[in-house]
Amino acid sequence: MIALENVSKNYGTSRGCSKISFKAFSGEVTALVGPNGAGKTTILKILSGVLLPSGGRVLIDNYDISEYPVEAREITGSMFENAPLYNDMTVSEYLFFVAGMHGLSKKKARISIAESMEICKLADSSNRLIAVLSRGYRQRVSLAQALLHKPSVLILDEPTAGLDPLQLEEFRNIVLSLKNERTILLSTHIMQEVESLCNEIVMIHQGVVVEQGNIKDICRRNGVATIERAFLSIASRPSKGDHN
Amino acid sequence: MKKSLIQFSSLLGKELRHAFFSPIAFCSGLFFLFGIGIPFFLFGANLSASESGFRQYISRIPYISAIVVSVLTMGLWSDERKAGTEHILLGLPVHDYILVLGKFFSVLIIYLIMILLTLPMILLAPIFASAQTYISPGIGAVVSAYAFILLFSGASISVGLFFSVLFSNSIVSFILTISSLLFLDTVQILPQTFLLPEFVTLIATRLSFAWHLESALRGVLDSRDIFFYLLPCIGVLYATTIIVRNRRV
Repeated sequence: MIALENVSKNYGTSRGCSKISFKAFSGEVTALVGPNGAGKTTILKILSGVLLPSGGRVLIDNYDISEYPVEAREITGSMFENAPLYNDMTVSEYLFFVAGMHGLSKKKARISIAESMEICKLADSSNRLIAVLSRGYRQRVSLAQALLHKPSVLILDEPTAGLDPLQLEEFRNIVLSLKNERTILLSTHIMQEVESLCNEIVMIHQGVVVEQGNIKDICRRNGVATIERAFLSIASRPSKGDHN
Repeated sequence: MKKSLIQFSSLLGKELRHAFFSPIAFCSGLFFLFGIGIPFFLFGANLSASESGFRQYISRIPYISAIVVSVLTMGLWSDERKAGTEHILLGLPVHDYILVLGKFFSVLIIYLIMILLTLPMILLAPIFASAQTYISPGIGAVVSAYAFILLFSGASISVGLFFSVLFSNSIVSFILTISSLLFLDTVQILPQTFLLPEFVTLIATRLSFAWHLESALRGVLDSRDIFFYLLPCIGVLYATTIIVRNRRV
């Protein structure tokens, strides 16, 4: 489970996000939706342990990330925006490196890597250099590394950005197959993806939560038929600022 | 503890792999060996003919090292930031000090290999010198001088890593590292060039590599020399760990 309670993040004088509160539960896929610069990546970086919040509390399966950062990262798998990877490594070398960084012994690493590669359909690419992989394969490698240590929480920052429809469909199927035992939080701009994957939606605009709930409730509250309409309507509203 | 060791060795392996598969380590190694080797082969007989020749040979290493260490460390962290892979490292369940130590020891190992590759020149010295003029510096002096250089390089690498974590631009990191190291290499010249107060002269002399090298060349590694380089090295690595931690804030 993920729980954010009044989480704020400031970058010097500028605000990344302000008083963000929401929960995401195990067995569900929660979407973090908002226009560019809304603060989605900031929240996902906080949940990944890359950033610490300036205020508020973040719990990942009851671990407060400010008090137990390493323990929280142990149960979190993160896939970052644009899939940053080490281009000079092959897929298997990279996965062995990440497994080692999770403290897995060689034997355990070998088993975990084989499982992750199977889930992400990477078996045919294990010896390929990451530098020559297509965007779709890079996303798969990034997802495979996030799954290596069997995390109970999965953070996916724009996992389908730049994928073609075929890759998109494959990726959706992978995420759906993973959701049973995990809490999955993903950020996206693609409303079609939200409709097909997500149980809950958290909408963020200018660093604050402006709407949350399931698709039906959000559409009803905003008097629109589709989540895309709701998104457009919310994104064009003036910010609620800190009164959220 | 076992987990930390696995994490450390994974990072070390990744850094060494990256270094050996990139032209930077290879070119730095060549520059280092040529920088030290060319004067040796040009003036080999002179270098090996006396104890002062060996001192000249050893005292050249820090100047070459200043360049090599700056090149090897400039991208250690700033390249990760540029490529976005810093997020991978910071998102892993690893203590920050392991990230810093893994990177530090990877460069130290590369440097150690370079240093060991200079040993054949010492062993070849009797061949280049005539039998009448050759005076062996003695195994003790060679061992202590090399141990001393390794300590010096540890402190130098920690400075390079510190600047690499501090600045996202690797060129800035390179310039600051090389400036700092060349300053430490040449600081003993200041009192000879300028009229300085006595305490400044004392500090400048004690900071200098040449002053600390003296005892090493006598075949004795003075504990003061060991602490002189070990303590700043630990201190700078600790500061680097704090900066890495603060990158999350």
